[in-house]
Amino acid sequence: MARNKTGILELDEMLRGGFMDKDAVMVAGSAGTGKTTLALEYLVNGATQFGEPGIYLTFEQLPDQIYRDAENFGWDLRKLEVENKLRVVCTSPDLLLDPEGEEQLLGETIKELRPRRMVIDSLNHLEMYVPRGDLRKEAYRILMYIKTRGISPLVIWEAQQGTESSYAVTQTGMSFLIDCLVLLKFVEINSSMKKALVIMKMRGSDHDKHLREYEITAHGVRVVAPFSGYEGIITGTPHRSLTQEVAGAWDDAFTRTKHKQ
Amino acid sequence: MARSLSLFPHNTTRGIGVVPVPIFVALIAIFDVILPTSVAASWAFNPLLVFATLQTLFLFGTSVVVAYISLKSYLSGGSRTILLLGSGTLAWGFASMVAAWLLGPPGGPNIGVTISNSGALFASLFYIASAATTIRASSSRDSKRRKSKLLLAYACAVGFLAALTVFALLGATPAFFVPGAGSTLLRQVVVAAALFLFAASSLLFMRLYHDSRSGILFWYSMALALTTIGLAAFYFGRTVGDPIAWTGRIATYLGGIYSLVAIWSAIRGSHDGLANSQ
Repeated sequence: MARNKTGILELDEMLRGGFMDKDAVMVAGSAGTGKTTLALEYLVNGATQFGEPGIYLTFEQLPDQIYRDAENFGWDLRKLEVENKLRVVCTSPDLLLDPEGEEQLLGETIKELRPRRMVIDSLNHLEMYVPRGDLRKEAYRILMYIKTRGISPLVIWEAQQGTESSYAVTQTGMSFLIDCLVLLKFVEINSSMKKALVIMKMRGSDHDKHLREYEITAHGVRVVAPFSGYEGIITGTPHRSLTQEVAGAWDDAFTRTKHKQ
Repeated sequence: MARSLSLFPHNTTRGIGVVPVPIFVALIAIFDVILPTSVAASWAFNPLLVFATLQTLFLFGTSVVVAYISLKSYLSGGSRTILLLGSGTLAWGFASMVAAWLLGPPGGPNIGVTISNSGALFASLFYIASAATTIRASSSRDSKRRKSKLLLAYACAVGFLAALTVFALLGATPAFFVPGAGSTLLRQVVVAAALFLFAASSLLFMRLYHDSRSGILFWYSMALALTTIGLAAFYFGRTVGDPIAWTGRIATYLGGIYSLVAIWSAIRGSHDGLANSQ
């Protein structure tokens, strides 16, 4: 089964090799969790490591901002555009929502670039431009347009941080459109904010079910260890299990004095 | 201010916890002085099923609990002290149980004694290594391959003793106990070495307790002290199941209970140091 590797080693392991080819992937999370960084890294790695050109379609930022932010991670998007491996398309959602809008906006680029990956940043912008309840229909139309051209879409969804809103993705009624859902979330552990990543859903494939800590480093996303021993992370009230509490006290007793020295 | 969940102040309960140590030492000394070998032999009481059940419950059962908590602790914290402690506990509990069930015929007491004493020495090596890691400050907490290291250490602890058991059953190990003649020199050396290492481990953990006032450390080092007394009884005992042996066995069972009290201290989160700091 063909897989689209993200190039983020630990994430690819969690995905059992990468996203399934042509699957609609959603990366959801609150502001500042690194959705755009993850999506850009997916595109850049696809273009540079796996020979898969990509399109970054954004309603959110101006091109200069995107190039600048990417450079901070060592990704030269301009160079990739010159090499015909990537296109950054900044537009307004209403253009895409026009009848035949996607063809006018992307048709030429798709023919020229022959992309394999595409990121839409973000669906929330589309939501602002469509009547309530029409988002599903519009998202379906756009995703189908992308998929039928042999491109694997990855859409970004900004969800509010909180217990219920973690599942706001499904509340929009788009879950049936999405084959793979990656949730990014802030969690408070021992009075410090950490970032947690979990693959909530991956249609037709096994995947890692653990919540894993991740960091945004100078080189992009780095997925670290699972939050082992904690319960209630998704619901926003993480706490250690009794066994883990006891194990922690056990460790403290035998090693705390030593570390004080 | 942290509230204590115990009925008595920590100093009181710990004071009471120390009391059995001199009592057991005194009992062994008294029996050693007043009991002639012939009388000790005639007083020997060794119902194998009862003994094996007690060993399984108080030594193997408690060791599994401690090894499990150590396992969880090592996986999350990566402390070598804990890894070695868990391995030693598992080795001691496993050896004690297997030895008890093999103490009777057909092999006679030598097989059980061989496994028990060799297991004690083997476990004591883990304990002393664990205690030694507390002497020097160390910030090494490997985060990589913890699971495989844990599996290796625990498998080593159990695997060695399983192999020893097989060799003992095949008669491929030197004699530790000769019926009618008593302990061999080899047994005395092995037990003495184990006794020394258990005592040293207990003292090192007690030293750590004096720094931290942790209830966990207090009860665990006392458990090791009681185990040391149990080993001393091996050393002074005239025959299997004599009063000295039972004094030692009861001391080790109490040691098993103390290790559970150490776990209970962890559950309560009632380190004195923590309570004092709040």
